[in-house]
Amino acid sequence: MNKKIKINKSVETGLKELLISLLESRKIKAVFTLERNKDAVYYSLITDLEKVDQASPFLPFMPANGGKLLSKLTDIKSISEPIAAVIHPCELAAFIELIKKQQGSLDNLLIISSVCPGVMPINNISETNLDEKIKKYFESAKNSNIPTGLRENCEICSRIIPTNADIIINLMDKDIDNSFELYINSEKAEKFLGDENGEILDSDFDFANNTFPQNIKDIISQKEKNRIAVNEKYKFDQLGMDGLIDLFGKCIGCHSCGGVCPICYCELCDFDSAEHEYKKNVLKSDLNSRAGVRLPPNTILYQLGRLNHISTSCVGCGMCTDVCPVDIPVGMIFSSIGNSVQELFKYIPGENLEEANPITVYKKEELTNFED
Amino acid sequence: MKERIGIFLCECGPNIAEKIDLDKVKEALEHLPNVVIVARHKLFCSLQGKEFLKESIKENNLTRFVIAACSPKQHELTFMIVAEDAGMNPHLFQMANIREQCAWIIEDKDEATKKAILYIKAAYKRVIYHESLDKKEIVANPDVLVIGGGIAGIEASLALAGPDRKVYLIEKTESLGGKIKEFDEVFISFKNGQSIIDERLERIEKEDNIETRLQAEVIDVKGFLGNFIVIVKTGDSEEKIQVGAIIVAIGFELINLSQLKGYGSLDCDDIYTGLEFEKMKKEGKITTKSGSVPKSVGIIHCIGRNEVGYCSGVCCLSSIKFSKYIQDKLPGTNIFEFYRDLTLPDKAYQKFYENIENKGVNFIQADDIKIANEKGLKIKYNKNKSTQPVDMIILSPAYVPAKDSNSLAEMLRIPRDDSGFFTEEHPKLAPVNTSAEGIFIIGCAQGPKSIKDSISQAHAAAGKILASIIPGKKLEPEVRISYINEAFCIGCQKCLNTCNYGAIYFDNLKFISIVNEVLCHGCGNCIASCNSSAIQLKHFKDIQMHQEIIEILR
Amino acid sequence: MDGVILKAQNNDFNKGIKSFLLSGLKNGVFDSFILSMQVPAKDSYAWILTYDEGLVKSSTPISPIMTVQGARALKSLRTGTPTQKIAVVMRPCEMRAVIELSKLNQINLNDLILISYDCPGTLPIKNYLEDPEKGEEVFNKILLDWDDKNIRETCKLCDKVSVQEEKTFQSDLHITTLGIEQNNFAIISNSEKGIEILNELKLEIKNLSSRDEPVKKIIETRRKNRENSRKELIPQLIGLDALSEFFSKCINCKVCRSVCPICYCRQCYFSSEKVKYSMEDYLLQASTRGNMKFLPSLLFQVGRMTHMSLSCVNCGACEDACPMDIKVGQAFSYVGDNVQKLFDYLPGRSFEEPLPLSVYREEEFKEIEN
Ligand SMILES: Cc1cc2nc3c(=O)[nH]c(=O)nc-3n(C[C@H](O)[C@H](O)[C@H](O)COP(=O)(O)OP(=O)(O)OC[C@H]3O[C@@H](n4cnc5c(N)ncnc54)[C@H](O)[C@@H]3O)c2cc1C
Ligand code: SF4
Ligand code: SF4
Ligand code: SF4
Ligand code: SF4
Ligand code: SF4
Ligand code: SF4
Ligand code: SF4
Ligand code: SF4
Repeated sequence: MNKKIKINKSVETGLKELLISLLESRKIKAVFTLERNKDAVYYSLITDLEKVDQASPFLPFMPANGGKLLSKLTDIKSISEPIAAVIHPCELAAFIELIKKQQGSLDNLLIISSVCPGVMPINNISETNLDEKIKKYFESAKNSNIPTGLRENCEICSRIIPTNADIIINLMDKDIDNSFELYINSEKAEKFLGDENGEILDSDFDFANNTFPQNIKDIISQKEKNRIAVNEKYKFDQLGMDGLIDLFGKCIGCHSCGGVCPICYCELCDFDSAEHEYKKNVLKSDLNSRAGVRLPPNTILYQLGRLNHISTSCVGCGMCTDVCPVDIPVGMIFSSIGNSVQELFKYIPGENLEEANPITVYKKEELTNFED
Repeated sequence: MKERIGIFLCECGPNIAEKIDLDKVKEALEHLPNVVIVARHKLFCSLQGKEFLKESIKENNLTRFVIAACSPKQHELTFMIVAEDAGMNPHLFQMANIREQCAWIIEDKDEATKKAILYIKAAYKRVIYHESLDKKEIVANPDVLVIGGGIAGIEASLALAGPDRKVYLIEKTESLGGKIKEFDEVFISFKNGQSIIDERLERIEKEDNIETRLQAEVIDVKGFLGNFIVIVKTGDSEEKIQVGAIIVAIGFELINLSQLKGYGSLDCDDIYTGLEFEKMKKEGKITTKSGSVPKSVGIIHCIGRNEVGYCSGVCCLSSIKFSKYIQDKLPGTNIFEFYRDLTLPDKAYQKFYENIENKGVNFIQADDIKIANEKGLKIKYNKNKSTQPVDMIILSPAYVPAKDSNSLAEMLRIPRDDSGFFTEEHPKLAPVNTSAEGIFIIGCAQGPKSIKDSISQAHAAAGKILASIIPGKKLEPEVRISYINEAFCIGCQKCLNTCNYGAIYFDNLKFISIVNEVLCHGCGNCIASCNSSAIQLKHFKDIQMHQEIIEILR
Repeated sequence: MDGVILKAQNNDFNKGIKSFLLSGLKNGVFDSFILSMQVPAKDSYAWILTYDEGLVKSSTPISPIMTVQGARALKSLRTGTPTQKIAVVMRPCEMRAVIELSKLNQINLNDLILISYDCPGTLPIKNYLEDPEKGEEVFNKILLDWDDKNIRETCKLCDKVSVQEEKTFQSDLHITTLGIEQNNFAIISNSEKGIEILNELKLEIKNLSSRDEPVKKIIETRRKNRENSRKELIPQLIGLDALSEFFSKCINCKVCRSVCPICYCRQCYFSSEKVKYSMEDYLLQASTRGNMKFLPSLLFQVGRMTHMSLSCVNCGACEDACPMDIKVGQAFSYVGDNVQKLFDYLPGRSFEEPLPLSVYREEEFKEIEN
């Protein structure tokens, strides 16, 4: 390993040409990537060469968590013919978390991801000066700055390296408009790439093992700082129940946050099931004890339940914030609390396919932890 | 276990073979995943064909198969039996209709071949999602409920009752016999109506296995062929009766004269309906209201025929019978029969009519009759150009459905036709069946008819019941039925109303709807009513249908 | 129309309504309430079920934003209510959805007393959230002058804002402010139950013809608004291409469905796993077209339309919540209007009117059989 291919093209053109050549040589059957059509942006499974050429693999938007989509595509049956997927690191992490829950498979998927500068809130897609904004975004990335106007969650996301991707592209590279490097990060990737794609060089960096350029390290540590500051704000011990109730005071119980969350994969959410419906007698006793009951009830219970179910796996993608109709920073809260729970368990979601989710396995230390 | 799928192509003699290039079809299918055999045969539905199919299934250890042939309506059952014979669950196969939908309708052989391949691939896609469905058996109750104690109901009861079959005969009025007990004579034998009934009542008396309920009414029916639960109310008491089949014989009524317009004054003295006149005859005196003997009588046919839109068929004869009554009782009376056209279907009936006419009854064809009461009754016709004064008028009004038809139809969930009579399943092939299995309609409840025809129908229905519910034999209900996923049902009960078999009920405690497995006929009606698809129909689940459809749309 | 006239000092209708409700509580005609109330952080509103006088006093029956469509709130009581005479104060469009859900057995009306009010419209949630204080101010003005500049687009097109001779929505009582003298408001009975309640309260019934003109005027304006806006909208909806374009931004998040009162299913078909495809199926689809968009939002939109547009009450909840600012409410309400016309049906018009597609008719059965 520790190989890379240097391609003397701008990053977008170069990647698309690579994908087209893989399609042409039948090494892959299709490409899963972002397409943009005016103010619409969506993931698409593309077989047509021309359409690949028009795709926007690095558009800084996430209309849906790609990990969630890939899981839906592969959970009945793994793919029988190779497909390349270009996704963000948090989407890959989500996908891996889902695979751990038997909700998908990496078989025959060639995952291409980037050192991610972040994405913008999805509704920015309609802004009139969008092209300008996107240009600025790449300009910042190129110069190793955190772009402005990102999703809140992206501002605090320090897991910007897609350690499990087969191919990694560094978008925070000064030369990106003229040449870029593809880091070959898996044996699988070696099978797909060869001399014909460009000169194969040794790489100084090994993304999988935490060696990467200094500028990226700087960005990570800066984001880490941002994250810690925000985590402080949303720390559960500090918030307590009351704090949480305040944060979710506006929540209308629409469950849309869970609907778009990649980690919420259940066909029927427990909190939508009959078991969780308010029963008359419960209502009565609640009413007696509190003088007033909110309708629909259990909005907080839902948040607590969801936290309980997914916090170890929350990848901080921010999809939930993007869709919340009452502008609650759901993603920030979840990813902060998630982070602290993950730290407790020394677990990083999506980092290692072999490592079981702490919630699903019984660990001895856990008990001792609670005992003292 | 790895799936082993077979695909069988039927030539259907020249029907398919000549229109579709089966070799090409075979080639296109052979490489599909898990397909272990693609074979063709001249005629799969023939004895040899079935044997070949059976052997192929066994030899290749097939787990599923597709047969591309004719419409499943024609031979699905045939091949299900073959599958069973070969030791396979009969639901693990799928038919592709390449005869009616390809060979017969597409001229161009290439096109037909292409379409056939598409259809077979679709069937192949679908069969992968088929599931084994196990047969069920239920014990059938041989007893029968007969609603209506007219001649039809009585005859059916007598034909059915026996040592291992009880009949419950439910009559609304205080006595059995229906209309005809009021008739002094009935054509064409001219026996007395009451005595016809009496003869039968005597037999009922003796038959231990007929239980009669008088002044009784059916108030609720639940269940299905072999297992109906009926609530009967007699007086103030209600009882639960369990039967395997139900016969509806509630007869008819005459159209309400007050509904009719255009006949002039129908509500004067000395105008009688046929039924009223029969009563008068039975009581032995034919007189006008003032007590005098009528010198002239007008008998008018087809009252209300236009309004109901059909010919009641029997009234011509009963009207002519009235002439006979008058001639017998009051010879010399002037009789005028006003008719539109004469319905005299039987060989004996024509003679009867000729006899009466020869005895001096005036038959007048007219279709714009108006009755006027101006210094005595007058019948005006021929666009008011002709007038016939008479002392008495007898009307033959159209037959209409019995009053309770509507409520019974709803209770039994059986359809009625435009005029409101119960509809038979098929006018020629199944004249006494209804669309609900185990429920039959006989006599005038099904439509106007004579006593003779009513009796024939009674016997026909009895025969059907005797043949289908044999005491001791079990019934096999449909297994491709729908079911409701408890977790997804929100209890809106939209599905309840769409089921014509009353197979869905609401569980108040769980607040969800539930399908009764034996009642469900698998018609699929309810599926469309459930937005969230909490209901699924076995063998026609969303995923099964979608797999097939996607493939066809490819 | 007739009704009782009540006082609202300084035109504070909310205060007036609350004292009416509390007098009802005293007289035993109501035993609890479902009202809109500001959340503790004072940046939003929520529905509250209470019998506490204090809570009623701090509630805001007529509130500036529709966070949860009222019918959705009531639906959470579908397995039973804790008391028997719950007075519910909601907007006309919420009432209509309540009636629709009652027909679908999701709301039991027995224990509820539905009180609607003259609705001037609501503010877009997003605008309100930006500056709640200003939102309050703006809305209080709208309550008096009915200026529609700042209300949601869907409200601008809503003509079912008050009761008239011609019945367009059902409730038990209706609170009216339009055309009523300064510092007063009136209550009109809008059902048998409503008549009983007013009788029980022994209030003097007066003729309210003064409101006829203003009500008519506002309805006319709204209809004109609708006509004008539809002129623009219709071409965007006719034809598959136009429709795809209309929903092109849709990210298929289904927030619209989640907040829609009429989408009452436990598990929406379109987020269910009833129909699952494997990658091969998708690949085949992609290869026929060159690409295959995820997730096909048009199927969801059109599917949802076929499921619920017959009952769409034009409440705008979906549009207000859509993160992509798609005019989804206007589209659904346009399609809804047409479907409803076809069946001569108006959702929420009356308690009795059955859902057109749910009644068993003998003739239909005959058609099936033939
Ligand atoms: C004036 C007249 C003269 C006729 N003359 C002749 C003739 O000479 N020859 C001939 O062949 N035909 C004649 N007919 C026709 C003959 O009446 C019918 O063919 C015959 O009555 C049909 O028998 P049914 O049992 O079907 O109906 P019905 O005789 O009508 O008997 C139906 C029975 O069902 C009962 N019933 C109704 N509703 C219920 C309920 N809900 N529950 C329980 N019981 C119920 C009724 O009380 C009645 O006892 C004549 C008809 C008329 C009107
Ligand atoms: S909770 Fe929110 S931020 Fe976390 S994974 Fe789910 S959608 Fe992403
Ligand atoms: S999307 Fe927002 S309003 Fe809806 S449930 Fe989640 S947090 Fe609550
Ligand atoms: S229609 Fe569907 S959701 Fe409604 S009761 Fe029937 S099965 Fe349940
Ligand atoms: S499939 Fe549905 S509608 Fe048809 S009989 Fe069964 S339950 Fe009734
Ligand atoms: S749509 Fe708007 S104006 Fe109409 S009743 Fe609802 S909230 Fe009021
Ligand atoms: S809320 Fe908007 S973006 Fe989301 S599914 Fe509905 S229309 Fe599409
Ligand atoms: S579709 Fe939209 S406007 Fe119509 S009822 Fe649902 S939320 Fe309201
Ligand atoms: S779109 Fe259809 S299935 Fe989904 S919630 Fe609405 S009505 Fe139910």
